Amino acid sequence: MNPLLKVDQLAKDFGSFRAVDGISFEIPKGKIVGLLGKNGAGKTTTIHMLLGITTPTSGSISYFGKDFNSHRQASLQRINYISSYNTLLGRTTVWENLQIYARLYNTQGHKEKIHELLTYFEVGDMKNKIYEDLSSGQKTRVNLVKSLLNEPELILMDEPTASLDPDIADKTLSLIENWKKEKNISILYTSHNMQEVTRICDDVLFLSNGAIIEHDTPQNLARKVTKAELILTYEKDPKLAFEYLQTRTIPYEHKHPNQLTIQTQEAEIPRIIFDISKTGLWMNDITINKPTLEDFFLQISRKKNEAI
Amino acid sequence: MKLYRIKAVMIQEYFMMGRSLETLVDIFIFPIMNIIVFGFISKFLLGSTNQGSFLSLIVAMLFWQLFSTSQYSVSVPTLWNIWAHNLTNLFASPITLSEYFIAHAVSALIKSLIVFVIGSSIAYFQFGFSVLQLPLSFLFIMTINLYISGISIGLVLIGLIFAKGIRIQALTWVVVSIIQPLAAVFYPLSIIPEPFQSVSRILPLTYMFEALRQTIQDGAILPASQQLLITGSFITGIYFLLFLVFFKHLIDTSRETGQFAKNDL
Repeated sequence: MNPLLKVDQLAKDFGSFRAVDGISFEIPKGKIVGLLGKNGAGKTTTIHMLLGITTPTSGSISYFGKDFNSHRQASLQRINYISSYNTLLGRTTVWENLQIYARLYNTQGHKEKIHELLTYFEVGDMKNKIYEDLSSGQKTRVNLVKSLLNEPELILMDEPTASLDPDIADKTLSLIENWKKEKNISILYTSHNMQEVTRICDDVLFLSNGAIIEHDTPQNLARKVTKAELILTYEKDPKLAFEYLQTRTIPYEHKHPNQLTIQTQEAEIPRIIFDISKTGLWMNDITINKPTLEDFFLQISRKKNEAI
Repeated sequence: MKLYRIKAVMIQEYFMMGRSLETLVDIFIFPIMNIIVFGFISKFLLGSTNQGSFLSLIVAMLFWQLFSTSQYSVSVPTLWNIWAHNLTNLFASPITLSEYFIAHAVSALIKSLIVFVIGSSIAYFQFGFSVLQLPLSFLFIMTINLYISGISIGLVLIGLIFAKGIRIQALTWVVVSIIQPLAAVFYPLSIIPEPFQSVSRILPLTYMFEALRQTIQDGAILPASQQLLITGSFITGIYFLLFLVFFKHLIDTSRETGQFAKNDL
């Protein structure tokens, strides 16, 4: 079965600067693929090439098994786009804005469709409001309605929840997750929020200096960071425990009274807890901070910065 | 080419215009006020000049508004989309640039004809001059030429904005003001200083407005006016084709440099 989107050796040069460096990936049906990277890593340029508004220097893009360049209209009819950077017309109403897009996509029964989506995204009572008078969260949900008007099989989402407060972002994300489950759509998702990406993405492409340097599930990428943090809260004299850590040259910090913070390999944690308990330390609480995708992101970014 | 997409862009323009007082003022109020002011000036000057000069002044103003409204109506809606950060959303849909331009060109025709009809009515009821005194064929040729000239310039301005960004948006309002004195709209070409006449001669508008004065003076389309109309129409056609090619080049450039997408960020 053909992937919905296939990108092959896609590259973009702006003068002597290579913004995207020969990336290749696929998005199968029903999958959410995250596109991660620091600012300037090439995420938005990639999205713009996938929409046909920036011309690639080399490489190819195909949607639904057909070359995008020669089937632009047919491809765009089956995909959609949402970005926190792009809004709808500020002075027109939500209803008017959505009607324009429904007509552009030739949505059949567009009035019913707009009503259905506005209700689903809980902005049905906003339809006669002027778009620029909406809150950021409401605008994002209206933009989501726009992005679903043509019942797309694939949506390109460029940081859709940026600028939303955590509560609204969480709600928006839940709506996206539910919609994805119901309709089995595919999504290419860029974000700086690693928790979001871990939560909704099946796969992650990690971009750095325009190239894909990692491609895996969020969980597997997080596992590539082997360091974890162990926090022990204790009651009695920790002298023997300190001696044990010093003998084993395990780095630790005494940040708060009665609290010991140990940086170690994730795999070492059970042994360390066992050994410390043998020193007679009375532990009240044990906290283990396992590595996350964010740790992986920071590790990669810092490595790159050091290299630079 | 899909009619429903052209219609969607025209509806977008209708919605935007309805909620933009400044656009309504630019498209309808300013041109009509100009026509009224020119009517009064012409009436005042009537004592010191002949009837033909009076007529040519007010009719020139009517046709000039047709031209400038066409240009404005093609270029300004693109700025609305850029100001609203809506351009990427629009071109992420299946709309083509041809459909987008045709939608604005049709809309420009409707708006400029509305301005022309309102202006002509004012000229008739307030100043007693009917544009129907001119031969219908002449009216038709002038309208088509000025409309095509207007949308051609509008097209290039869109292309330039796509390619260079909104830092050059002022051109949208300035270009017609630069063309007006050179195109001999309200006075004969001979009034323009000699060095500038060569520039005037490459503008199709110069021939059209010279033909207007000649036709009013002759009371019919005589060979001299015919020649001017043919030359003007020919140059209009050439410019339109050249500007289409130039527009395509500007769009390709803006997609290659990334400026097309950058306009919207």
